[in-house]
Amino acid sequence: MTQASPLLAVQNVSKSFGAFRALDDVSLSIAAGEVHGLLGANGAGKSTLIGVLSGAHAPDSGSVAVAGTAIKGGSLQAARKAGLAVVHQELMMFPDRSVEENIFASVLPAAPFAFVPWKDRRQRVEAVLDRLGAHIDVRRRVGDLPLSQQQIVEIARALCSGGRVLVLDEPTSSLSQPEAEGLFEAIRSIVAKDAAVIFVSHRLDEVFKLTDRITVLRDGRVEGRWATADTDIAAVTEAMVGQYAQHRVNANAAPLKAPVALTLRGSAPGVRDLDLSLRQGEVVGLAGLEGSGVSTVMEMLGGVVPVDGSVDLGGTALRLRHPIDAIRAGIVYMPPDRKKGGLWLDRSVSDNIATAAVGRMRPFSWLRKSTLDGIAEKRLEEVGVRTNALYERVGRLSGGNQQRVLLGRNLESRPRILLLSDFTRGVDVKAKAAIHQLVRTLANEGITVCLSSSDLEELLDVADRVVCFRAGRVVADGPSTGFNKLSLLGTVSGVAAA
Amino acid sequence: MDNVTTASEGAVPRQRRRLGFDELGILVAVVLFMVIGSLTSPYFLTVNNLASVLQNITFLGFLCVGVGLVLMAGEIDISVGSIFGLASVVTALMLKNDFPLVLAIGGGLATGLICGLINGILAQAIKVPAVVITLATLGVYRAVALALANGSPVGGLPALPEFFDWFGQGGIGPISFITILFLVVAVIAEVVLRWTSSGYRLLAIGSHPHAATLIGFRVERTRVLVLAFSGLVAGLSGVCSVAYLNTAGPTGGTGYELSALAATIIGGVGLSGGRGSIVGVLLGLCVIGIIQNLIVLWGVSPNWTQGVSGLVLIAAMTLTWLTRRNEGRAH
Repeated sequence: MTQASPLLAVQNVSKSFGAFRALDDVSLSIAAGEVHGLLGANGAGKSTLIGVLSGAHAPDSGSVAVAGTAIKGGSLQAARKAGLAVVHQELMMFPDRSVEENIFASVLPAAPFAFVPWKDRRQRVEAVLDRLGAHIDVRRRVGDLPLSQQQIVEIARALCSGGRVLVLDEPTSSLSQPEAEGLFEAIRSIVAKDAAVIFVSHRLDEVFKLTDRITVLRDGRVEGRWATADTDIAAVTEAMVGQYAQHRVNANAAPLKAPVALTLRGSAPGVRDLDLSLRQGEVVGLAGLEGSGVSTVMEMLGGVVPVDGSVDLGGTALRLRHPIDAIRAGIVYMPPDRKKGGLWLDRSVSDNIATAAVGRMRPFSWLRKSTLDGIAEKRLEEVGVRTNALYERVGRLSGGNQQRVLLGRNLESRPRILLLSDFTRGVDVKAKAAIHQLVRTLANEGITVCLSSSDLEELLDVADRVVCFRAGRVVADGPSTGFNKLSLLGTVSGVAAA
Repeated sequence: MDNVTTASEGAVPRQRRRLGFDELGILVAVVLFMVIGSLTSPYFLTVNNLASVLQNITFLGFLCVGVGLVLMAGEIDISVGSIFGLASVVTALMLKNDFPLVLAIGGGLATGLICGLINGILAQAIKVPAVVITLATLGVYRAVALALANGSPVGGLPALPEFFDWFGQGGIGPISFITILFLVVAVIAEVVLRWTSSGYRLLAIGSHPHAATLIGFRVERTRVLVLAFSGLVAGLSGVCSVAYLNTAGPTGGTGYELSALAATIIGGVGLSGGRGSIVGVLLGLCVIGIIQNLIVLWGVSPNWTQGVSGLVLIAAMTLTWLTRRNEGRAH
């Protein structure tokens, strides 16, 4: 390896948010001409590291230097000026402007009203696209391009603004296989010209195909680094997952013989030819990375996304056009983002839970506050939140308790089938274990629970059965005891388990 | 099941929910303006003057109830002034052409309801904020009123049926029957809003439409219905104005949308939906009524009538912003 003078040198960077240590003494050095894979499970610190590199976060200690020049932490401008450019997962472009205008937006002259000769500008833009080996008409509207080309335009923009170290955050998550190949070629031609790329991805096969070296983060620390040629998927996966203490609440789960409660056959945008059955009282974990279609499947079942196909509930065909149709049939969907999708944060706990009861009432029914409070109190006890929080504004509760309130409200909708999308997002470890226990209790009462989580290993703890999704299709389906954390990650990320 | 509740959460004492005391601030404003009025004009605190203030805000008041509910549901209706004008013209024309009274009243009410339904259905069908649709229909409905009335007031109505005349001109003491009808409408609206499932859903939809959809509330349908209701009460107001004035001007109600919006917002109904009460709206209405009365008593040129509503609206929104900002700091 060329260790002489790294293009990017990250030294002993630490960063805490409150009591949470997101990055702990992380060092990273990347040479010019290198594609570096950055890996880690959710919450490992990847996003924080990207934030430090982009200048969005100032590190508490440590330094970042590009080509020997230290960058002032916490300044987006300083990072960009030094040649660090981050291409985020969600593209940030002006869809109504042309390719040329988008690329050039990043390098508009600093002085207001400065004149830019258009010929000059077009030449510069075309030169950058040539360097990427991309053949894109620079006059086309960006919004009309396929996603893969938009991705390339975004990279071109980063390059055009003088980026020498490019951080690509999950660039392939929305691309098809051939599109991803095209992107890899572009990445290789970038690094051929005295630049470096940090490639952040969940997809291990791609990381192994593309990168020269790999760094794995876990719990904010560097857990391992290798030259890609000297390691294999098993070693990397192990470093990512680590010693995971299992608290299985489903340890005694025997294969269920209960009758099928629900069958979904059909498609929706991002999900193809699904055939999914849930048994009564079963806890089914839907496993998949972002973009795998898992969240869409949840929305299909909950009546949020229309199903092109059929839904069969215990022998009756359902037409789910609105969440109310699902709720009336006893299927209750709990959205992943409790702030944006679930709770009225400025309302009291009682109000939030009572909405479900009010939803059942006829128009102009008389409301009795004591009845509503009673309902809320009962549900709070059920989900294990102290009832003196009844009149507390939900926004002031901890994440774990917010999640319980949301769960309590959904129980008030009297579900036969409960859909929990990313059900422990932003919940601490202790609260997680309690929520797992709660899910198991509900299942024992005969409620079918279908859940997904951004923390894949968690599914093995709770679910009786795990259904794995990749690119909108089911790739594996079996009892959770048949998976371990390695094989599960391997299956959903598209590499055979080692 | 163990209780995972942090110390800070547990420390909050159990409280009863506060019911409607946010209106206290507006009540203070009303009292303040009354004090100013009584100090600056000897005529202000007379029964005659106060009765005329009440009568003047009654027609606007109907509109405020509708506009307020629409705002609480997270939409904005600015076509109510034109609906008022159109409904009054329809009723007057029907009376002039010797339709039975019931049909004439029904015609005015139906006009309002249909106008409101058109607003709601258009806004939800083509997924445009109702404020834009009602800006368009503000112009359209006014044009229809002008066309029907041929540009001039519909007067010279034949002798009005006895009931209509009695209702329009009479009252209990200094309070007219029309004002009483308005108060009945307002009370019903408040009761529905505060103590029934429908009011609960309306506010829930206004403050967080997405969450409301997921819990199974019909957001679009509710918004169509509330816009239809707003049209209906604007139509009712128009019909009452014919009973009161014995005539209908095709330009009647011009500028009411601005005054109604000012009254509801100063009354504590948030622009972003999900907040407010009819009591607050009534108090906001009083503020507007007193200010408009005072500028007459003070001898300010009537050219300023509309301007005052505009200034009140700006002041109300500035106040809202200031209190929100301070709340934000308190936490």
